[in-house]
Amino acid sequence: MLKLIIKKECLTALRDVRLQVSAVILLILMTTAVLVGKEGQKLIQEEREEAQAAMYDQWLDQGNKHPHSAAHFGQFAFKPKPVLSFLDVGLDTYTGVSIFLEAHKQNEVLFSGAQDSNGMSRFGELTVALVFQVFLPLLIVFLAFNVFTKEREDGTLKLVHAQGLPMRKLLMGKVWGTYLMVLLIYLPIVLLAYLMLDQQSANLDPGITTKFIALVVLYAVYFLVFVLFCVLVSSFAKSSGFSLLTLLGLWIVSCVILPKATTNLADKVYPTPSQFEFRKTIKDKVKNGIDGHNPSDVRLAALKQQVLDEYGASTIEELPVNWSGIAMQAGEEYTDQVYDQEFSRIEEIFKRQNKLSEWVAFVNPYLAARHLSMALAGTDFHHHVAFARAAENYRRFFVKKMNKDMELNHKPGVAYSDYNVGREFWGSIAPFDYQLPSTATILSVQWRNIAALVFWLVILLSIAYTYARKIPKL
Amino acid sequence: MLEARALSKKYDEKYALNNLDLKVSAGEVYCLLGANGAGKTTTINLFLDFISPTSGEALVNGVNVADEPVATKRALAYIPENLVLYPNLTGVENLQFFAGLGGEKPAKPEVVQLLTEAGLQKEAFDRRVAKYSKGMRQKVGIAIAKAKNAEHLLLDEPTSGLDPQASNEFAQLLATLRENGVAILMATHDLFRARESGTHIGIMRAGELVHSIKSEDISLNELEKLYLDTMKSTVYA
Amino acid sequence: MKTLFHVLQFEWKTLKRSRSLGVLLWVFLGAGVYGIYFGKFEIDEQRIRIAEVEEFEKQQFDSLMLRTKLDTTISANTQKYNSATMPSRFGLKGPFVYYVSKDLHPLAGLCLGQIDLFPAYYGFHIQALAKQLGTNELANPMKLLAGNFDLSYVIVFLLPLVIVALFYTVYASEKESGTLSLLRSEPIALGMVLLGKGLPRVLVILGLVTFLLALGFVIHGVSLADHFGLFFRWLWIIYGYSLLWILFMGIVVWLRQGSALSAILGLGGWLIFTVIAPALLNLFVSAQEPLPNRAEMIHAVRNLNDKNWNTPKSFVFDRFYADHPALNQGDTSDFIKWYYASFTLLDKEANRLKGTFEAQVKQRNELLEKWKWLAPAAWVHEKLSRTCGTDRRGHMAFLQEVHAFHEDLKSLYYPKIFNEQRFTMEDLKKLEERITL
Repeated sequence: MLKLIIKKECLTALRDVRLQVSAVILLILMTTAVLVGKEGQKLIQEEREEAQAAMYDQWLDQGNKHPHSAAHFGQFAFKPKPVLSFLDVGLDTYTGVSIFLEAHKQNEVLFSGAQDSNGMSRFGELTVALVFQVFLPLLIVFLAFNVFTKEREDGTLKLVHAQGLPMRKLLMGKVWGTYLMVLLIYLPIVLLAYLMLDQQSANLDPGITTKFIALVVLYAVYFLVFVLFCVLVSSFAKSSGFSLLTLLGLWIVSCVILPKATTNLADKVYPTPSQFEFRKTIKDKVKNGIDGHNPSDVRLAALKQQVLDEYGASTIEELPVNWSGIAMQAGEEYTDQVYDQEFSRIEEIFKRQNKLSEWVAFVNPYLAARHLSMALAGTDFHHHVAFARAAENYRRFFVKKMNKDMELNHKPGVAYSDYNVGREFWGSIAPFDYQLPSTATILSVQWRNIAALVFWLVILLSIAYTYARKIPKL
Repeated sequence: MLEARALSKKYDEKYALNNLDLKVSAGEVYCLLGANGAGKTTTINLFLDFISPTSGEALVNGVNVADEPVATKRALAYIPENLVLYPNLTGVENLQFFAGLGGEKPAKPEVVQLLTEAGLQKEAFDRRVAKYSKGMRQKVGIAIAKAKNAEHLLLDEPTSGLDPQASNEFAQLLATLRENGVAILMATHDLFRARESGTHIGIMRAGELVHSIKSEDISLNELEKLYLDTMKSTVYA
Repeated sequence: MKTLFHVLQFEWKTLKRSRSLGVLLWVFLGAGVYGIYFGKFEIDEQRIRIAEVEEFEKQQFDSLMLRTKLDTTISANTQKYNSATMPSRFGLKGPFVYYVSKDLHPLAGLCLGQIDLFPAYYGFHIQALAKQLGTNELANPMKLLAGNFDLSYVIVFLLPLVIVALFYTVYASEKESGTLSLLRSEPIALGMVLLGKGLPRVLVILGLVTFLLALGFVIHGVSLADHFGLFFRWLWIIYGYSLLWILFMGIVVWLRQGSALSAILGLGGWLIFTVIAPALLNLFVSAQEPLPNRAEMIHAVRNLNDKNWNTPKSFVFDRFYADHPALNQGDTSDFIKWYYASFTLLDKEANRLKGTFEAQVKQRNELLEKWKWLAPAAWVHEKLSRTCGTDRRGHMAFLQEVHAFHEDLKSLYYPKIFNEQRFTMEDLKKLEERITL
């Protein structure tokens, strides 16, 4: 019996010219988004890999010089363009792509695409995610808004009910029927996207298949939530017009207005400090000590005494090691400590802002899907931070190595310009290699969004089962 | 005077109305009878220029409707089977609106008089039409027709769905209009009402006017027999 | 004309009594007011931040100036005195940091445009500017992605939806409720009726946006009398945009379809013109013309820096004196002079590369510009942000100002450095003027 209803729903939808047209348009849009998007991702990734390699070559070819000069010469880190960013570009337009790594200084990840584009870029890029998150729900609205109201208006619902069909079966039949239609559009695109995952993709991200599957499951659940919701609204709506208006209104609020309003609100609840304040705090803390009572000159004097004691020397000149190297590394480490503290504070503020959006996902499943999709595509805030962290760690690693070499090999009494190292030493610093986080790492910070989606699914299913009997037949 | 000359309307290969000749003069009530799809509503729609004829002419006071659609409508009033008015406007406002479309917007006392004459109860005048019954709406429809001072009235099954009392009141209103010299063309299924109110009766079948009789020449029983016989021949035709 | 007025009058009555329409308009009005306040909040925050850095700069300068009054006969004071009078040492601790902040347009809060992507102020010292502008305001990228809920957003995105909702039933409701047949039996052309029904809606829309705009001026404390031209400029753009959408819905109505199809057509148009078209354009442009890579520019500057340091001083001096013969005192060994000369070379190289880079960006953005008519929403948004100086161009102009300011500083510093002179009281006065500017 269920099969019969599903078949009837599908036939009705398949024969509707308006739906045929919309489905074709969506399919064209998505195919374009997949093909062009993947092409773009590949191009950008190749360019960045090239740039990364070229920069490392420059590092190797910088000639003979003092290791500290090399630390100033610095290195670059380029953010890889995650493979699945062709499905969901996420924050990629707004986060920087490269960072200059040098001694003494934590630079920012710079040069976001949005800064180099005109206002058009704020309207977003057409990606499959946009179609999945925003347009497909709209199609679901048009598929489902009158599945019950039309039967009620035409009187066929009375007929069907008189045949002895339980309302729950009818309801679920309509749900699965509609869902099947959605899958009919969804699955070909999934297949197409899967075929686009080439060798380059696998090299860039070994966990790509898992992430892809997770993404596919995510959207499958998201669509089911929408189908359930729309069919339920239709089953209790007074008329088709009312049902359509309600659903369209909710669609606009949840997919257009609320995401923007939520994020803006979060910024008001947890205000972001200014760059000026951030830099000034770091400077002050480095100068006066983290607790404010340990100024840099006192710290330096203490360190000097400690080193002198360690080597049993009374002056710097008597030390068997290079005092500047030691002092520089100590200064570096102190700054790092301050920086970490302040940076974590900012990160915490951003995370709190984002968390607010994540809680709102329990009201608006669109947000849950959006957050999860970005996370799995590797284009969310966590990924940006992970990259910035990795780059910073690399900076510390190579700067430390330069300082250490200076400490041990640059003998006291030798002029700065007279101590030089060369290619062999530069080569001992391995190139920057950033691995994208694994699926498990990604999902571990996404539990709120997952819970929100599951919550919606469970609530809607239980409403469907409990209240199906009460669906008005007239 | 309403006049149809060899009036035909063809959809694809099928005639909805075939070669109709018809005249309704002032003070006459011409009732069209016939099964669904016989061509009654098509005839009325052609006089209103809702559709254009395939051939032939529909004339209002000798003017071809197809040539002067707006001008001829000044001389026509129309009440459809299910008269729908603007639910958010009151009876008075609806009357003012529709009457004003054709000419001068009638003043309130005039409107009140028209509605009273049409038999609408006073309490309903300033209530929104959303709360009106079908009979009440039909009365406003009559008032609209009267306000227009039209010489012709086209009615498309105006009494279907009305209870006998409302239907009777409606017939009385028609009688007054007829006495005032209005030419009325009415499509109906109600043999009794056609025989009572009509001065002439036409029976249509498959787009053709098969019989045209004066109602004083035929009794109700004879009319029923004639109607049924005509319909039967449809089956075999 | 009389009948048109008659229809108009009654349509007005009907509209006034429609509850769902009332709800819709109140919601829109609410969104508009929220947008105006949101914009004000953002811009006030910017102003506070700007005031903060300016205050800091002033305070730093004042405490530096105190050092000029030190008694230099006491040897411990020499260093401090030097830091306030010697151009190469000028600054409390390290070179003195000057702040230049953006002049915010009075209406910037109504259309925030791109300003959240860029800093509203730059802090820099006399040394190489190229190495000091790589900074961003701290911003949650989620917020940048979501964009600003300001008045321009309400007008560009939400207003078309209201227009669609207001117009899609103009014909369909008559047809579906059944009043159409009675209407058509009247001696009036249907077009006239539809026009009469449409005009009050047009008035509602135009009235609403005019009200919101005026409210925006009031809330943002912009005097209408002083900025009449600006008000009309906005009004002109918004009216044009509204009429474009009204025209679109006019076509939908003219097609005489049922309400469901009319709604789909209206909503579809909205999706195409405000969401799909710009998104498609962005997709194609970013895949076909990816943003030019900055890697080349970055390492060219870095290599020059490296070369400056690792080659004989004459490398820098030869080039520097060629450009600045007035500063040439024949000195080719002084470290300080070499140090400052090398910054100028770096900046020159960076500016040259930046020029080429900007040209590439411009070329790419021109491609978008060429197709912008496909995406009227983006076009109008760009136009509005241009009137408020909140687009990318506005920021580029600000960067120009920063460069000019830096050049101006150099004209005070460099002659002193190369003539090995101290700042006179007069020079310090000039610097103070620039700070309080």
